[in-house]
Amino acid sequence: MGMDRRASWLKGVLDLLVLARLTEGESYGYAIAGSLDEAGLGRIRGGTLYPVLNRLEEAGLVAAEYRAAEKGPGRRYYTLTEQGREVLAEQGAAWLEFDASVRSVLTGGGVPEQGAVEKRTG
Amino acid sequence: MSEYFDGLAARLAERGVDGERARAILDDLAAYVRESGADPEAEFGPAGEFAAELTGAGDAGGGAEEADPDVLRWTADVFEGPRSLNAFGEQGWEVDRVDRVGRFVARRDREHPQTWEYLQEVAASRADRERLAARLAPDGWEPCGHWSVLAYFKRPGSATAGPAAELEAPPPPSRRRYFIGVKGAVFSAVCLVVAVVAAAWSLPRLVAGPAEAQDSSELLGFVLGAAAGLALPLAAFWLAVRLWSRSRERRRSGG
Repeated sequence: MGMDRRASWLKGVLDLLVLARLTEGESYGYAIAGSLDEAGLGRIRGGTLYPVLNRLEEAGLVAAEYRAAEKGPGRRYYTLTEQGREVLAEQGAAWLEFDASVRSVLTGGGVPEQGAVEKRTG
Repeated sequence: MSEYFDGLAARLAERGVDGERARAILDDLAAYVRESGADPEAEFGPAGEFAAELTGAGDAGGGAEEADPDVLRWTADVFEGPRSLNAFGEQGWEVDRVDRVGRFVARRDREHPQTWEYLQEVAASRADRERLAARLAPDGWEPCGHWSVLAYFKRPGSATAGPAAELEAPPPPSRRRYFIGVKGAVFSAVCLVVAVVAAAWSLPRLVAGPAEAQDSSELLGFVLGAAAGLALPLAAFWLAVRLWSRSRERRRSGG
């Protein structure tokens, strides 16, 4: 149940997370998945990530360039477009506003903030 | 190339992805698998489904509803609308919106499908729709789209039936996507005949009028007359809809 819920949360925001990762510069599928995992979002399967990358590319929010490798298969490198940057700013702000509202309702309902939990258990 | 990628290449080709793009995608995925050490099928899912995901309709917001089997579209005339809505509602279809061409766009929750109820109302303007929504909200109704002067409202079955509204085994949707009844067909035919007669009568006059005008004031009179001739029926229609929706609302609040 917990994992299902996390997966559905991620579904609503994965495109923005990918765009946000690309603000640091160009990247490729596996590296994007790895950096999101490192950020605490868990391991995102290629089957989930690539359709999102494709949709972002088709919408013109990222540009992809295929580069052949000397050894092994080549890779597609993704960069953020100007339009992608604008969508990230606008939709990212909307998500943060939503997050603030959720936070406010949950803490109002007695759910302790993450920092408070760590302080209590640590 | 592994069996999985051969299968995926075939599925991509079937979906019309050109050779160069397919090669780039497959190379990229192969590099991913090589780097992660993952099994392709476990990582990307069955080749057919993954190809469908990769070539799904573009919508960066995650909408991709064209590729979504849980999305249903259908159209109905004004008389059949409520019946078709409630029939699909009983099968768990929740209308999200009415699209530009007047089709209902609905989706069904994959994990917890439940029944939905619908209302079709008449509202001449946005203010009318808002007034209607405010009046219906206490009973659990919420707007789910509008088209022309028709406004639609939905209510989850659980609002009245509680957990019993949840569907354990929702049936597959019927193949029918057009719900045009006898009344709707007669109404459309009458509208068509009126439009054709009106056009046949007015178009030759619209063409001849300016040509026969003696001076600019006569031409101005013709233009103003034509504009009034167009505006009057529209205003009469709008007024009739307003009066009808108001009287319906009064009857409801009285009863």
